[in-house]
Amino acid sequence: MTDVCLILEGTYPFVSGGVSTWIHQLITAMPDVRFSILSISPFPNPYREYKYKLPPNVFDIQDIYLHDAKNFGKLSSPAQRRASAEGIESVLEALIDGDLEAFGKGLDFFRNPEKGLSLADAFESQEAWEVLTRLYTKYADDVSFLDFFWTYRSIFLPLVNTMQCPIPPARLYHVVSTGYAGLIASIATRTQDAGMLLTEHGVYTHERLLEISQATWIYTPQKERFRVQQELSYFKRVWLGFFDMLGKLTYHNADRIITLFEGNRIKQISVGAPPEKISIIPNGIDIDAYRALALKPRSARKKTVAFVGRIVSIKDVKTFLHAAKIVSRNRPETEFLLIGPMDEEPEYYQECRDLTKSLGLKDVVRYLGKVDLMSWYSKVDLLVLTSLSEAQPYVIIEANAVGVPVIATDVGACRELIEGRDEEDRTLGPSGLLTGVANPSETAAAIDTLLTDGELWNEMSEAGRARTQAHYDQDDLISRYLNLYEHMMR
Amino acid sequence: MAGIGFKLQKLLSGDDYSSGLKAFGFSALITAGPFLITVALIVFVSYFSYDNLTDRGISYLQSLITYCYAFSLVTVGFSYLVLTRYVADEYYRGHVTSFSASFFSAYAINLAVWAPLVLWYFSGLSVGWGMRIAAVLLYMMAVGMWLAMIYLSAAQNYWPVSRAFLIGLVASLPSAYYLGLWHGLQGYFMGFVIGQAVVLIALVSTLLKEFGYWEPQDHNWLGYFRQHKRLFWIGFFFNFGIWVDKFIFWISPQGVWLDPRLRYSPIYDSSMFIAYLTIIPSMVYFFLLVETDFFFKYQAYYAALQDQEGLTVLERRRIAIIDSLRSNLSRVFVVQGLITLMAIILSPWILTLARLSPLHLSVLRLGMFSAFIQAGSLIVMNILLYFDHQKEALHVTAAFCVLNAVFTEMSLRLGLFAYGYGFGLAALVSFTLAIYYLNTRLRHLHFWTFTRQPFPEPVLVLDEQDEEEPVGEQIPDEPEPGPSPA
Repeated sequence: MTDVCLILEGTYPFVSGGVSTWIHQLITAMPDVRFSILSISPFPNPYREYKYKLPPNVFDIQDIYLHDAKNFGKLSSPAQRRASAEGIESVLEALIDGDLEAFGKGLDFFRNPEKGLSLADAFESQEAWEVLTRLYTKYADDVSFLDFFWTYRSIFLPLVNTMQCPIPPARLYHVVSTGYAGLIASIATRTQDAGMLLTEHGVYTHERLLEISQATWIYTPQKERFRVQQELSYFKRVWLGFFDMLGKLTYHNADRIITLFEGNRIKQISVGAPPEKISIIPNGIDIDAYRALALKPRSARKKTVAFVGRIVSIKDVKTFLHAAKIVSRNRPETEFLLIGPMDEEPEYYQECRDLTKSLGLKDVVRYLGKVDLMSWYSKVDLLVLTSLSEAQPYVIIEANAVGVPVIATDVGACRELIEGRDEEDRTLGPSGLLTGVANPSETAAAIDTLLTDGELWNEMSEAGRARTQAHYDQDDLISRYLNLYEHMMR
Repeated sequence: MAGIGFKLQKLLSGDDYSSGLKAFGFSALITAGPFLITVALIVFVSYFSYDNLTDRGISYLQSLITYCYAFSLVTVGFSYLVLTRYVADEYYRGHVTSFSASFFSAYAINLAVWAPLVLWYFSGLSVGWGMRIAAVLLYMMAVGMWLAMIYLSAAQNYWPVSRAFLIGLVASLPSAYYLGLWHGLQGYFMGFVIGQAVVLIALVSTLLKEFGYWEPQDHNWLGYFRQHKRLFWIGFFFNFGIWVDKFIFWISPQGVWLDPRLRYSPIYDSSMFIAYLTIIPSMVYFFLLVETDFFFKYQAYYAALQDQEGLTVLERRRIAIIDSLRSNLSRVFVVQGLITLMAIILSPWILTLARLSPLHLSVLRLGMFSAFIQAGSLIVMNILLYFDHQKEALHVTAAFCVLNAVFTEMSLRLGLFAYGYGFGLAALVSFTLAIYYLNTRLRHLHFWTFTRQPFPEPVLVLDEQDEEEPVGEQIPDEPEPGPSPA
């Protein structure tokens, strides 16, 4: 029995990234809490490796493989198969009709050892086949049966595997996404008499929506492919409905829901999360390290404006370049830095280089590539983000902690990072300026304002330092989690 | 956004449903060719050779030829269906350039494994080495014929096959006649062997002409033994099952020694051969019906699957298959029923025609009836193989083989009146089983077609994303895990 069981889908400790880093921080910062990890992956991967050194307070890692169809087991007795098939079918129908409580009834068919539903029962029995064809007749208006069959298998194999997954005992289940992880957490909280905490950095249901609507592997009939689509094809709707259902189920069963920023809270509510369960705990940074950095002296005549981010289309680097052009008309001495890896979208990078040349900015714009940001915060006057889409960008927090004002597009969490999240936070004043998306003249005007108005710059610099210290200190945020854990552990 | 989530797998793959399994149907038919030649020769010899060949000599000739064929069928049986499947799949995949190479591979491997055993067996004959070697050669030619016909029937090249047998018949009768005139028994046998050599040469040259000789070697068919273990056993039980009742009769006290390694059963063998002759019409007729009607219905079903049709279309196609089978099978049943009935009524006349004693009458009549049932069982088993119901076909053939042995042994103990019942009863049981399987499998055709599809093993695509990435990345098109649909 551990204190907290983390249920993770395709992330820590085998995949690096933002969420994984955050989890690693969380575990490391709580040496007294005993953790176990339930790791979900598509199927066994002999080549996987640990991307993080596991802290000593992780006691156990258990794997579950979604698409593992190796152990088919034996067929149960016909009577039992019939009972299970009918029971599961009625639970499915109730769930499709929106009765989320039916899930509890469904659990029994998968987890009761006496009923022992095997993969063979689920995929090789006549009874399961009849359920499939009934679902087809009822919901699938004579679409391609071959694709219906494979969609059914692709949905139900991971589902049966998760529904039967053994749950390590723990006092609290902390799940870091909805989806299959959320499903397992829901099973855990219902079978283990323990609390369930959900932290979502993104919004899983939303991400799947974008992914699936663009997917090319899902069958769309020829005749629909060339028409402007009013709605998604049948199979895309099935997949979306499935993930939407998993999301709702997770939100329904979670005791508390944590999200990073206001924008995601609204998205979560729109895909079915009860508003009263949601609270916001943003990502934090090591504030002291950043506060200790020296600011660029205000007396320096040559001003430096930095764009931080990968050189990719979603960051809309071209808007930044156009804004630089406008700014440099009046301030030819201003220097523009682009800081971030350039190898991810080589074509786009080349376009940016060409644009730099044709705008005549070759002498004032520098591409730095991937560098250690810490050393550059002391050399810039302003930070600019022109992204088309963002979550909660770390660079804004870091720049603000140093005292560098930020100009950012009004996307994701940018507004609350710059202007404050609530009434109290807003009294600190803004730490930068917000602009419209893809609006070079507005961005240029903002740059010009901050470079001209020294007083405003100072106010914003101070506001940023104050806000990050008050709300984005990693230690404070971790201790909020510790508090939550202590409250919720049974 | 956050590193959550797998890229969804491309699991929607249509497997190769209808690899041209048509060749299975032909397998039942082709045995008729050499069979007819043998019968023709025996009849020919018994009419034209009285001056220098005794009755015992004719029996010797008939038995030796029978042994050669029996050995070749039973030993080739192990690889016959496996190879048939390989050839059908390769043909479906459009890869025929290695057919000649894989034929020689299969031929060489079969001979390497079995020919020494056969040589050892025939080396015990009391006749000279000329006859012994000739017997082994006949065995080797028969093996070559069976194997070559697999390839030729995959290409549905029936005319060259028939032509090869006609040429072989034309060659063997005069050569047997003249060689027999000078050398007696040995001469007749040599003549027959020469005829078979002509058949084999004609078949192989057709094979080479049809497919060319493009690749030096191809042993890939051996891999099918691992993939299709059941076909191996079906092939064995099928061929051994057909012969096991004869073997038991030869071994039994009913058997008569012709030579230290040659026993035959005068009462059983001839009657059974004549009985088998009577089912050739139904085999040919069934084969023609399959060619012209059933196969199109069968293909239409799988085509509808691949064309991503809905369940209503699939159901319509399933019913078309059943209707086609029902009408075709009942036609075959009526035609063969009439023929068998006629043959049973005419059997006393047939006996005199074949110069057999009236003692054979009851065995002959039973044999004809049993062969009729056996034909049905054979046909239904072939249909099961069309739908790739290997497990069921295995049950049917194994049941036939085991029951044929058990019942034949029992009938031997009961005495003359029971001879032939063993074979008949075994055929009846396996026919019932086959019909039961065909019925249930076709009733739930969709279930069996789909459920037997293996789960594809997904390609690992854990996606690595970090915080700065935008929400929702374009997913690249993953390569399909399974073989791509044609």
